[in-house]
Parts: sequence; structure tokens; C-alpha cells
Amino acid sequence: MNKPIGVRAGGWRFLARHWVFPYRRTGSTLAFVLNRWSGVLLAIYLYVHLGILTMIAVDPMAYDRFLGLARSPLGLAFDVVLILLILYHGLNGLRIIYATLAGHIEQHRAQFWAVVVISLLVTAYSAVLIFSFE
Amino acid sequence: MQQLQDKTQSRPSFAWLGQAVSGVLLIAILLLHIYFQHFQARGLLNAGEIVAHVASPVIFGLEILFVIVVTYHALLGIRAIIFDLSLTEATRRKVTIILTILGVLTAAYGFILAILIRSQLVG
Repeated sequence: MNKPIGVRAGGWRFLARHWVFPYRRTGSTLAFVLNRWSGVLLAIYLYVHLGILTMIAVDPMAYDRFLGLARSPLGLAFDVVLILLILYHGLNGLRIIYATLAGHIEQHRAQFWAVVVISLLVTAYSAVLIFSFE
Repeated sequence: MQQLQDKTQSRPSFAWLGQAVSGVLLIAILLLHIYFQHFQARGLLNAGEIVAHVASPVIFGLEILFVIVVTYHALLGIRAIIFDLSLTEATRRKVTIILTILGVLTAAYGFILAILIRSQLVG
């Protein structure tokens, strides 16, 4: 039976099972869930970023006051998390494209962990740079 | 028939290709964005520095391209997530139309915002 909003039965259950409760799942499910969550958070950040940049057009002084918060340890930590999300999402996206087009799906587990390790290492290096810049 | 079906199923969809191409393009643009806006400047720019930065036609063009590609990629991803809900065909069409309108409005807002920021230099 179709629900009024057009979601077929089982749709929400699929989302909860695959997204919110990914425990006891394979590495590929973890890669999928992390890719989707990082994507959603980055999509939200796109609108937050546009909102913050609006301050420059409307009230440049307010933007400069906001920089005080952005340059605080909390603001810089937020930037580090943002870099981790971007790195994981970007590298995992490249991994998916490679696995799909080259067909090397059998190595996906090693590739996924390589993506995680590279993301963490580059994020750690970026964190050092960010905190030394400000 | 089975072979034909397998071939069809293994072919990436138009949306998947769009997501992949925009994703690769986004990585290149993002690297340039981070280099020009943060590494070259060694930290966060204040309002005056951003206005002076966007005055460069190359940076301005890059930022406009960035807004268009990132919006396309983000909303195509949101569409794929919503489609995981096993929607009916009619609802899928509605979702696509709503996200297309949202995407056009977002890109237009980003474009207008970039122009307004650039005009601060003249003002």
C-alpha cells in the first residue's frame, strides 16, 4: 500500500537500518554510511557558508567580528573537522569512481581503509598548518 | 535477453555520471579555492581582503564556477539519498523538480552574492 506522501512501505526502515544503525555491517556499508553522512553535512555547510558570506555584502564589520569566533580554537577545530569531511568524501568518491569504471571491486576493503588513513593523515597535517597560521 | 539486461544494469546512470564528473571537477576547484583563499593568504581573510581578492576576474570566475558545481553535486547527492526511500515514480519526479528549483535559486543567490561582494570595492 502506498503512503500519501509517496513513500513505499519499508523505505524509512531501509534508511534507519542502513544509515543510523550500521553496526555489525561490512566495511563497504561503513564506507557507504560515512560517505552519505559526510555528504549531508557538507551540503548543510554549503548553505551555512553562503549565509556567513552574506555578512560581507550586508555588514562587513559584522563579518570581521565573526572572524573572532572563527579564529578561536573552537572555530579552528570546526575547520579541521570540515577538512576531514571534505577529504573523506572526496577520496571515497574517487575510490567509488575507480572501482566502478576499472572494475577492481575485489580490493574495495583495502582501498576504503587507505582512504580513511590518508584522510586522517592529511587532516592531521592541515590541523598543524591551521593552528600555526592563526 | 539476460545478457542485455545485465549490460543495462551494469551501465552507470546519467545521474551517477553527473555526480562523478561534478565530483572530480569539484576536487580540482576546491584545491584552487583552498590554495587562493587560505594557503596563499596564510589563514582566514577579513572582509576587506575577501573583497580585494574577488576583484580578480580569475578568482571571481572560479568562485562562480565553484558555487554552480558544488550546488549541482550536493543536490544530486541529496536526491540520491531521498530516492533510497523507495519513492513512487510520481514522488521522484516531484523531488527532482523541487531540488532543481532549489539548485537554480542557490546558484543564482551565490552569483548575486559574489557580485554584491565585488561591488563593495567600488562602494
